[in-house]
Amino acid sequence: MLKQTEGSHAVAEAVALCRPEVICAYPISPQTHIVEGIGEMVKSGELKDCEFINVESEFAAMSVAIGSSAGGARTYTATASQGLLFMVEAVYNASGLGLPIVMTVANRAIGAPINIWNDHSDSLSQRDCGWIQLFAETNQEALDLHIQAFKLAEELSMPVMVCMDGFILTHAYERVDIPTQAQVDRFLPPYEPRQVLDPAEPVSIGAMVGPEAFMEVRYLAHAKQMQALERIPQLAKEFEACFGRDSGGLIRGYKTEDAETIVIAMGSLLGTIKDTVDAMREAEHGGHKIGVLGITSYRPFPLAAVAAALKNCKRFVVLEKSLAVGIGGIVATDVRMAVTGMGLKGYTVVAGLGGRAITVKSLTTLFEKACREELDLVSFLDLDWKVVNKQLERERTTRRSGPAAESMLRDVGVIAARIG
Amino acid sequence: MFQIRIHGRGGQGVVTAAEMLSIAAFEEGRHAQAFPSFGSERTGAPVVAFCRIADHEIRLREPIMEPDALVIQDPTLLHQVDVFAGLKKGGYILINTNKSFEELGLADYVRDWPADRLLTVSATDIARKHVGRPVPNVPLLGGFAAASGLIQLESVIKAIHRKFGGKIAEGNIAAATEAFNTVRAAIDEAKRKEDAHA
Amino acid sequence: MSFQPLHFYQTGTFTIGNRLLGEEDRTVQAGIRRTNSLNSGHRACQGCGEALGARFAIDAAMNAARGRLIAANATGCLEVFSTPYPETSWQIPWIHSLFGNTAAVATGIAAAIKVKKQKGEMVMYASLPRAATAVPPISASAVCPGCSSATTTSCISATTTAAT
Repeated sequence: MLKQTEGSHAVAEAVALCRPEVICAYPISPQTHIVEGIGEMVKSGELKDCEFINVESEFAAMSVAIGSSAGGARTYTATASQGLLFMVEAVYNASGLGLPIVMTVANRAIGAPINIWNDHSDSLSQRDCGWIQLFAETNQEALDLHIQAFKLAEELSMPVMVCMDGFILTHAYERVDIPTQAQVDRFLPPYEPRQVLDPAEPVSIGAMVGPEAFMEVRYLAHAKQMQALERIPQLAKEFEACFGRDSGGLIRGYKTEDAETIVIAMGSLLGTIKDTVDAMREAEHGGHKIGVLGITSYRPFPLAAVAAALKNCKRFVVLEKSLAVGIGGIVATDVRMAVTGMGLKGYTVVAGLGGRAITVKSLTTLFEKACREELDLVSFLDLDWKVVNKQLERERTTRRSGPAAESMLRDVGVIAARIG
Repeated sequence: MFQIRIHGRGGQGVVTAAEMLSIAAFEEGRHAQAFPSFGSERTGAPVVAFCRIADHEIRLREPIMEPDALVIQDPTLLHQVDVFAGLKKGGYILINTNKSFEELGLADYVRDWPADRLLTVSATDIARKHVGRPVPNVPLLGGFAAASGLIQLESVIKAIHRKFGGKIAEGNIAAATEAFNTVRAAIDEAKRKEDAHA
Repeated sequence: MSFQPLHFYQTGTFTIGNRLLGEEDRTVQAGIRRTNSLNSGHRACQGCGEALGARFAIDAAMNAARGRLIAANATGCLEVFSTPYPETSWQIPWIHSLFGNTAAVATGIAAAIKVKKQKGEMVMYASLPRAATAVPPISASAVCPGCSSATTTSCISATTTAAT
């Protein structure tokens, strides 16, 4: 059923349709509306046979999820940014134990400095733990991915993180098609655990594993993600057969067939990029042969698929909302691994950190530069170099130069209502 | 694609206004996207919300830099915040006020503007009258419907039903309708003046 | 040929040797009705106070739960010496997660049980060889980490959460 609603609410409805049995989450902007929405549904009785547990922290949230999932219940939680980091020990534990928990991460920057706006640093900080990571481009895809996530997680017995841009998607009202309960039931069977805490058949979960077997156990986590590489596209096809739309999959190309320059990105940013690319392709704007590659499955990283998508282009730009301090891009590093030996020119562009708006105007200038191969290897979109250099100078000349952020904010002259 | 930017202060329902505008457009079978300029703004602080309406899927996610229409819920913002930034020449300006554009000090800015694009409505008063609270967002939506013709009053009413119930919904519908009629009358008046000139 | 001396085991004490005696002469420690949920074969030292205390605490919990018990164990000696992969000395369902989250994990297990019961999906359980009475609810039990081996039998606190 078509609905005009907030992204968070769409996700809440999708999760509810998946018949979760235990929900345990700690609130954090910008995920709050999702869990509040589900909480309302549990309270009103709309969502039945679901235990909603109020927990005292995100660490507790993931821990409850671990217990619940091991107890055989379909379990869901959600978090962002600081909350994700607070539960990291448990996040690794969940994937190490192979528990099919589904978690929404409403992507938000990590402090310090404290920042509630969108970027991908939170999810990407957990790219190595073994959780499958899927990035949604739109609110429709966000809700669809949750339904696919439960199925994928339970088949493989591996937890899945569905990432959606905080505020930009979570708090945006747009049209979504919410499936019926019957449709979801047809697609998603009841949870059949591979391992469960059952007095009738006792098992010990979480044994200590020493050097003689640890590598093998860890490799198996990797093997599961390799299986996921096969399964994710199949799942997307099955989803399309059931629900009638293309959602999920490993990657999605847009006008890449004849493209000489391909822009690679994840999440909602892809929408703005596509508008930019469409304009640039027009004759009066240069008729650039430029295309877009969206990565939906970030973990497992689709090395082969990315390489295949880029095989006919000359150059690529990885536009990412993340920064690996000390080296440059995060997603870019993975992309470069995919295209090793292909002789392509690659550019890393770090953009939108902490929610800085990414505009068609800036992207156009950027992409035109890329097409002329005039970009630095690593660059930062719309960085205010004046402010940065002033601060560096300040630190060079004065020992007690004060908190960096405070000095720079004074230079920037923060006005709350400044747009963009 | 039509882009509307709504300016106001925290507590005046700016975000809800954008959402309801998007719901109204949805009810007419169109695509719409509404989102606020997020912040930890408290009651009274300037806030901005955006709404895009189109007949195709809206992929663009940047803040609205070049609006086709501005709705200003609080005229005290006019000389504090650059509300007009990027406004297309001849775009709609709908201000919640009892004063005229001249009295608000905007005469110079709107000198060559088509008269039927410059509209005021006493939304706060109308809201107080029908709903008992000085929240001007819903009457302004009614006013915007009349001003732009982009959405019908009926759709605004459907959006009101989506957000409110019972007496509050009724009050809001009355408020939206009064504002709609006021603005419609003002436009007709402006048109008559122009025809008289011509 | 060397002579193997014969040992006479004392009765009325807590010595393990009690196990050579008939049921009536055994002490509680060696009683045949003990659940041995934490069974022998674990890697703790002989006479480890933690193992001793853990066995008693779990016996009590098993008694209270009429044999339907799930254990959540924190990182610590007990967890490490009882589950050296690929072996386990636990005869009840058992999970080890992290150091500071045992209560939360137990909450999760209890929540799962509650929902399953509500949906009528409870699985059959193995019952103790005790007199069958009205069936009490299943419990999830959390055992504290790193109990020092200087503890006595009354030391370990086992928190039981009973699902309704």
